[in-house]
Amino acid sequence: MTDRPHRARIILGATTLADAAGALALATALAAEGSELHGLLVEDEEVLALCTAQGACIVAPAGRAGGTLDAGRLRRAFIGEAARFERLLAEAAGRAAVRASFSLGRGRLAASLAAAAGPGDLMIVAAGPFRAPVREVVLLSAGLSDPALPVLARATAERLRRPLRTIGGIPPSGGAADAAAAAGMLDTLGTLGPGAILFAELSRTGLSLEDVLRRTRCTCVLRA
Amino acid sequence: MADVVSGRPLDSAALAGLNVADFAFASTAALEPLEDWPGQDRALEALRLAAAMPHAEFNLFVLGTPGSGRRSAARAVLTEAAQTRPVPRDWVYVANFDDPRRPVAIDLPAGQAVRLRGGVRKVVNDLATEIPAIFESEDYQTRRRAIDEAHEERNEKAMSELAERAQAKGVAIVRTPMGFGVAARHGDEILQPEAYRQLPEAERAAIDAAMAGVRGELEAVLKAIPQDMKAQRHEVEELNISMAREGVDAALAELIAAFAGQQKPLRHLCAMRQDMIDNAELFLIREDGAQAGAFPVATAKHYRKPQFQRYTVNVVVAHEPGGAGAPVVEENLPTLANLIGRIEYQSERGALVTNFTMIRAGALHRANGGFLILDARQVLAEPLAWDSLKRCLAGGRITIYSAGERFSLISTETLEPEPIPLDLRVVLVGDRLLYYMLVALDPDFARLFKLEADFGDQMPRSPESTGLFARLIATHVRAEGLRPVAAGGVARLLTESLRLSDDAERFTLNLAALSDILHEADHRAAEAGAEAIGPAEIEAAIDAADRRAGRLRELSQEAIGRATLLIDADGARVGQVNALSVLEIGKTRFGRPARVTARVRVGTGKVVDIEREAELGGPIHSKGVMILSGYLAGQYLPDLPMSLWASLVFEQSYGGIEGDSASAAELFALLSALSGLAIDQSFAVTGSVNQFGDVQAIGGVNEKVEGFFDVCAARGLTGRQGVLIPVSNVKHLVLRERVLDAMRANRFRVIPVATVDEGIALLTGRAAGARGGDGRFPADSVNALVEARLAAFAEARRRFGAGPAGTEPKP
Repeated sequence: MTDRPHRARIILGATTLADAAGALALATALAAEGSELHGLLVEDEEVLALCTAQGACIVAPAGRAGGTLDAGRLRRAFIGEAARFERLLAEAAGRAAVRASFSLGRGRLAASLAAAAGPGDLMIVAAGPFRAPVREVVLLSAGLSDPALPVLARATAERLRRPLRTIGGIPPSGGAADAAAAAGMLDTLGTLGPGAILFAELSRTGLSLEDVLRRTRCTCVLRA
Repeated sequence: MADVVSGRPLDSAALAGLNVADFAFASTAALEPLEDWPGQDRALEALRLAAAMPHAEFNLFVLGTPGSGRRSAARAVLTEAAQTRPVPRDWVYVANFDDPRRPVAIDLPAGQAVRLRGGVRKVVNDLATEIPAIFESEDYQTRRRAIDEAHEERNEKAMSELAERAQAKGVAIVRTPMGFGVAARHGDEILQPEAYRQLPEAERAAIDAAMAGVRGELEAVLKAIPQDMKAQRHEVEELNISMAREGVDAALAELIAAFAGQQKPLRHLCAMRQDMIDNAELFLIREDGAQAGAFPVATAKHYRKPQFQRYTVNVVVAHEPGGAGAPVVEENLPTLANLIGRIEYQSERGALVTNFTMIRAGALHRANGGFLILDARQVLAEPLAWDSLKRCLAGGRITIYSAGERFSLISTETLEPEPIPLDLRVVLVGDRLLYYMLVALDPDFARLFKLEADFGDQMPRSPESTGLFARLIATHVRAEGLRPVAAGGVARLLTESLRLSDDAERFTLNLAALSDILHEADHRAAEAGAEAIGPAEIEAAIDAADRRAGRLRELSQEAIGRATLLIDADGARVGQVNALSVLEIGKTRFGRPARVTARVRVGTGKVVDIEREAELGGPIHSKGVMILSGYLAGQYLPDLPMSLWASLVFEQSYGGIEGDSASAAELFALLSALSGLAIDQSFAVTGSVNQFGDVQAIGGVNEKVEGFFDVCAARGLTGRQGVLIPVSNVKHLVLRERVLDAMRANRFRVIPVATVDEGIALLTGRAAGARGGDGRFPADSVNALVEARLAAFAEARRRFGAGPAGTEPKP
């Protein structure tokens, strides 16, 4: 038996079907460049924690108050959304003629993504609670070592007919100043609205995936 | 015709049928064609009145026998009248954009319907190219993007600000599968219940208030999104409409200008303009097929695409702008649909669907403004056709519906096209019986068809009319492309036309029958290499037609020749006479002798008609027998009770007998039986009698004479043989040449008789005898013998009724 050579994957991670569906077209288009598409729906602990949080409540997408949360209902909703996500993924992959797979995780989204991603994989995740139509493509040039990422960002911008904006930053050097630089970079990324798609390679920026997902409100395309 | 003396054989030379005209022309090539129809002045007057009358309901029924030229005359008169009328307006059906089930009918000046259709097609073709170009233009994309971005920014800003405010207040907004979760946060994590409970009450209250605030704001932001999207769609629609309006107005400008002065087309173009603007997305539907076709997109016929069907101009009636007057339409298959038009359907996934483009015109549409010629019998035979025709004429408009719809047989989507005003003259062509039945039975008919054009079947013979007849033949052969007819040929045709009308003084106006002869004669002339049709060709054609139709006649003659049917042509016999009948089967009409016999005995005055008793005699035949009973009762022994029992029969007759033309023969047989005088079997008799003993005219005299002649000729003409005919039938004699030849050679006789006495004298060779001053007939006369026999019967009856001596006779 021989190991199959690793093939770069596009991992579309989400905690809800709405997030996954919003980024599915982008993920499929990137996978069509020659990658495998993998869908990952995570039963997020933070979401489940809402069920026990004092005074927590639900507001339906149409703006109506949805009452308090119930863990059982929430879990059943996760399972239902996972099934629909898997079906949507298969359909989109079929149309684009790309190979697709799906898994259901539990824990924290960032941790699940990090665990699922291998070298060369590209993680796509929609951060923040709100979604908006794509208005710009943003490339984080700091810590960029993968020459393919700018190419992908540019191609995405052209395909979506949206502007490509590059934002810089101080490359990490290992000192105390790096933390401040990282915080500054995180602040900058936090200003990106839900209509932005961020292309970044985090490994050499000093930023953690969890921090980025917590602070940003845009769709992130991150090199693992 | 020379004076006819009854009781004496006719001189063949005196027969009117022989004395045809001496024409002054060599052939019909020298004759001027007729522009009218001879002998049809009354009918033509009615036709011209119908063509000229402006008022509705003065429709016309042309009645006459087939072949009388009634249809061709109607066509010619109406065509002539139509040329003086204006060309009618065109009619189109277009979509009703407000109510697609009720298509709109639009009338336009002649030639404008096709122009409108072409104009609309061009507009659709242009817009199919221009609208996509407009919506793909940088201008549109920029304006559209500006709208989208303005709304997106507004929403995004509201959400971002809410997210920031929530974060500042220590409240987390988390997207969950069930919506947005709102909870207090501690640092980057959700505040757990234990931690919350350990907080001071004031802090807990602050957290609660913050959560409530964020939740309220979140609800407000989310609720505002649909409203904003609606506003965004509205702005986009406004943009689309304004862009589409520019394109549509530019494309339609030329067409609207062209129809500026016409209210209905203009109204439709305006409605179409608005529909195109409102539904501009129809022009953005792309089909790979069209794009990938062999022809450039610019030349593609976009108007044929299904989405543009709504803009089709369905031309139902179109006329040439400089056309030759009003239309004259003949509909030879006047079904309901062919008359009033129809709505076609097509199957789509098993369902029948239709739309205004599937409305088809009928004859009423095509003839509107002009004339419509229909065969009355066909209209009446087609289901619902007569009813629909009357409805249209009475209502003055054409309403399209189907038979299935009328009977509720179809339950599917259908249309109610706007009725089209109707202004035309309908001309029905039919026979007289049909006309009289319609007048009697259909109350609408007389109201809607106020005019009648009655085409005569015959024309009185005179030098003038004979000349017209020759010109009629000349006109016909020219129209039919036949050879001219030589003067002799015309004369022979004239004789035949007299024969066809059964009258030597009137020729038939049935041109169809003469036309058949002419065509066959022309063929024979062609085979003979003749330049004109001569009398020989005409004669040959007539003979050939007789021969073709003569099988039954020959079989009948054969049966007599072989003595299967017993007919005597010589000798004498008591109570037996040769009567004559005419058989008419299909196109064959021939005379045939039949033996009539009578037997008598004492009785109570009853003459038994065996035909009637056997239910083989028709009512007119029975009437004839009753009349002869009346004759006997009045002629003999008026003071004594009629004490006769007699039976009369057509021997070897197994079919029905109808008509009274044998009543004279039956009376002669009866008189022979009573008198005991034998009847000369060399004679045959035809004629009816009245109660006074007058012999009256009958039909088919020529065929009857020829029928007995052929029997005699087969057995050998003796010169004694002949036929007694009513003197009033002499003018109807147009006998075949073989009979006339025999008459000229005194080998066959045709003897007109005026009375029964004259006839019985000829048949028995004894004078009938007139009652003298003493009230008695001369001794040994026929009548004396008859009366004596009847007196003997009365005496016998009296004696028989007296019973034993001394008793009173019984009634």
